Order: sequence, then C-alpha cells, then structure tokens
Amino acid sequence: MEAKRGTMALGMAGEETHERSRLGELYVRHAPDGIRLAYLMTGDRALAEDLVQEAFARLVGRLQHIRFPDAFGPYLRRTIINLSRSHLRHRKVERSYVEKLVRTPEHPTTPNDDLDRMMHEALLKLPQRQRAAMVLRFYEDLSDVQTAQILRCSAGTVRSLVSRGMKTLRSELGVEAR
Amino acid sequence: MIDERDVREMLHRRASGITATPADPPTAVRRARRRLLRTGALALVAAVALVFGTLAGIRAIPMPRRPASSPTPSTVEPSPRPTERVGFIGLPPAGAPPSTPKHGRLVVSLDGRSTTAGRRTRIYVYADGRVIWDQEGDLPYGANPVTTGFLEQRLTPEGVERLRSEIVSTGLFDHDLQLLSKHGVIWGDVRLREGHRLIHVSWSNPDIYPQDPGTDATPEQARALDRLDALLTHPESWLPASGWEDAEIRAYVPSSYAVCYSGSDRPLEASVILPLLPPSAEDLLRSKDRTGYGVGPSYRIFCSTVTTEVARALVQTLEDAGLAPDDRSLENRLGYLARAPSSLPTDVLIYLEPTLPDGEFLLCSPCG
Repeated sequence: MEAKRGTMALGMAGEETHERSRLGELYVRHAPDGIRLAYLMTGDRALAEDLVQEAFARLVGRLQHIRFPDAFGPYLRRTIINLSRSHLRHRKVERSYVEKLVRTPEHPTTPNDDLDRMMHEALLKLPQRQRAAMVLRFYEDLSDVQTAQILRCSAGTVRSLVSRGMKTLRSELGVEAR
Repeated sequence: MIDERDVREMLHRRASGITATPADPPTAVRRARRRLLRTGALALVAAVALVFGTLAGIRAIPMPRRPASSPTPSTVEPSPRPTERVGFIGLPPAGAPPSTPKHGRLVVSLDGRSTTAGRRTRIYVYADGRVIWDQEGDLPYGANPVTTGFLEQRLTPEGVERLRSEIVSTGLFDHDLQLLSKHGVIWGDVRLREGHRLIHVSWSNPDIYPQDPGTDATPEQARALDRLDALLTHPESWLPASGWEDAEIRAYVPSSYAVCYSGSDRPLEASVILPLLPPSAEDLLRSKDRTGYGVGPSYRIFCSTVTTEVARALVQTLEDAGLAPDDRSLENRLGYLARAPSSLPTDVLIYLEPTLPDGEFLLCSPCG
C-alpha cells in the first residue's frame, strides 16, 4: 500500500514536471519564429512580443488537446495572425498607428535597409487580410491552401489577396523601388 | 517593378533583424498557468452552476433510455492488474520473446482522447484475439510516469466477435463518417473491418478543434459515439470472462521496428539527413526501403522497417557515436538528435517506433 501511494504521488509530480518541461520546450522552440511573424504583421517589436506571449498563453490551455506536437507551430501561427488582426482592429487607429511607425524608422542605415523599410511600411498599410496573406505566403513559405486554412478562406481568395497586395505595393513603391 | 521575390527577400531580411529574445519561458509559462487557473475557476463555477441547475431540473428531464443493444455490465471480477511496471519504451529486454503470431489482421482500432478514460488511448484488436493498447498517464503497470507503452491481452474468437458486433450495433459503421459532436466525446478515430476494407469513423468536438472538417452529429449519432467510446476504452468492464483468453496485461514485444528520421524543426530531404548520421547507420538506412510521410505544413519524416536485432545494432551505433537523447520524445519513444552543421537550418531527429502485427506503426508516439 505504501509503495502504491508513493508511486501515485511520484506520478502526479512527474506529470506536472513533464507538462512544465513540455511548455518550456515549446516556448523556446516556437516563440522566436512567432515574434518575427508578429513583427512583420505589426511592425512593432514590443507589440510582437506581447502578442506572442498572449498567443502562447491562449494555446497552452489547449496543449493537452493538440493531437500532434508538430501541429503546435501551425496553431501558434494562426493565433498570432488572428491576434495581430484583432489587435489592430480593436484599436481602430490602425492608420494613425502605422503612420506613427513610418515616422519612427528602426534601422535606416543603408540604402537596402531604407528600401526594405519602405516596402515593409507599405505592406503595413495594406488591409489586414492582404497583409496576412502576403506574410504567410512569402515569409512563412506556406502554400495557397495552407494560407487559406489559417485565414479561413479559399485558396483562390488567397491568390486574389496576394495579387491585390502586390498591386498596391507596386503602386506605392513601383518605380522608386527598382 | 517589385515582384514576389523582392517581397520575400525583404520580409526575411526584416525578420532576421529581429533578434528573438522572448521573455524567459518561465514568465510565459506562469502567465499561461495563471490563465489556466482563471479558466479552471470559471469552469468550476460553471460546473457548480450546472450541477445545481441539473439537480433543480432533474425531475423535469426524462432520463434517456438505455439502448436495447447496450452491453450488459460484466459481473465478472476484473482480472488483477500488474502492480509492477511491465510496459517498456524502446527496445525489449534482451531475450524477450516477440508477440505471436508475427502478423495479424486488424479487426478494429481506436485512437482517441476519451471522455470516459480522460486520457489519450490507442487500442488495436486483431483477428487472432490480440488486444494491443497503450494509454497516457502513470499506471502502475505502465512503462513510466508518462505512458504505459504498448501492452497486450488476448480475447477468445467469441470475444473478438462480441466486441465487433457491439461496435456494429452502434449503427455508425454503414460507411465512412467524419462527425462533429459537442456531446461528451473529445476526439477519436475508429476503424472497423468489413470484409476487405476498414470503415473509418472519426469525430471531434468543434469547441476544441474548430478547424476540423465534418458534419454535425445527430443526437442519435452523438449518443452512439459516446457508447462507442465507452465500449472500446473499457472492454474489460463489459466483456464477460468467457470473452478473454488471457486477460493478464503483458508488454507487447514487437517483431520489428520503424526507424524514422527527419529534420528536428524544419523539413530536410533524406539525402541531406543520412550523411549526418554515423557511417554505419547511414549505410544501414541507405540499404533499406524508405517511405516519406508529410505531417503538418511540408513536414517530412522518412521511415524504414527493420528487425528488432537490426534496431538493437542501430541503437548501439547511435549511442557509440555519442548522439544525444531526443528530449522531445518525452519518454514515449527511443529517439536521438544528430547535430547538423550550421549551414543547415535544423538538427536531425532519429527515433524508433514499434511496429504492430499488421505492419503499421505510429509516426509520432509522443503526440497526444
């Protein structure tokens, strides 16, 4: 009886330790990529870190229900995209927010940096869905179908969003960029 | 004129400028745990309210009638469970006889997170009577505090047929089904043999898996799913003693293993992975047929099947070469990490999964 009681106590402690180490491991593994994704969506490093913390906190509650550990990345990516869109929508000051960012560039050191900054600023002015589609397609290298799953639309819509986003970027930057 | 390549390169350059130094994991974990506690408190309040609400209204609610075909609860004493750990992870003890017969025909399988068991459970029942299963959690006879490892019991032919007929009587197996149900079940996949093919019924709770496809279960189907869940998760609770040829729980000792390898974080081609392994392991795996599997976005895992003896030699090679144990295997499988040069985006993961009598194996036993 003593041995059984001891085993059960050890098991509970073991499961808790296991869960904690799993959370920590997932965070170390996924947070850096998540912050980069959130930064590309928002243009704000500090906000990106906050959003990833929030996304992680939301997902951890579902950790035990996620069927595949390797699916945690896609879940986190979707949550970050949704939080980025939701955050800016709720502020209702997206345009002024972006304009403020435009006025405070982070690293205007070389011509290439300037060009990148201009393109990123133009991207940040795109409607949220266009921006998300372009970041997921061109930064995360997701297919149209995978992007569509995250944005909850059809692959055709993703192609249309990207096409319109590219058109807007070209009209914003066009000749100046090349 | 900017093109997609310009945008792609710009995004990667901008992202690379972000030195990822997120808040330390404990901060994030603490925050997550606080959220969980808040959620738990809300759930507790909701549960208390539900209990009181149910008690208050219980007289007004007609109790559901037990389906006519429900199995009769067993009056037989359940066979004693081992009090010592019999399951194992990785290779069997030297000299342990493999499960016989070597090959088996799958009759029914369940892979799911049951509401009745509360834990991830996998069960495979074969025509020869073998019931091979594992369950997450710390069970006294399990391999470790995380999982039981694969265990084995045996049904009589009548027991197999009884189990099968009870499953058929749920009415869910006329054809393949993919159902969404908020009623009790969390998720599950059941396969049932019908002649030469396996009928596949899967379900999930859309509150937990909003992205899962499927059709909404009718109330009858939702009840049938709950019954299916109980039938397969707790066969010992209703199958009579005559249905068991050997109810004693033993470790399942496989005849062969799948050796699987992949990039640990990013997809890598087999041709890139193999040279990163110790030479004798590389030679061995090059000489074997391999199958590539996709898991998640563009993720690739390559697996080859080898005998237990070859698996043992391979493990010895990996350990002699000093490969580090893979932490992500989480005590569910035997895995190692091979360090990749900095020119590659990821290290290499190589692990072993036991094969089942019909030749299938789990691509990711820690997944759950």
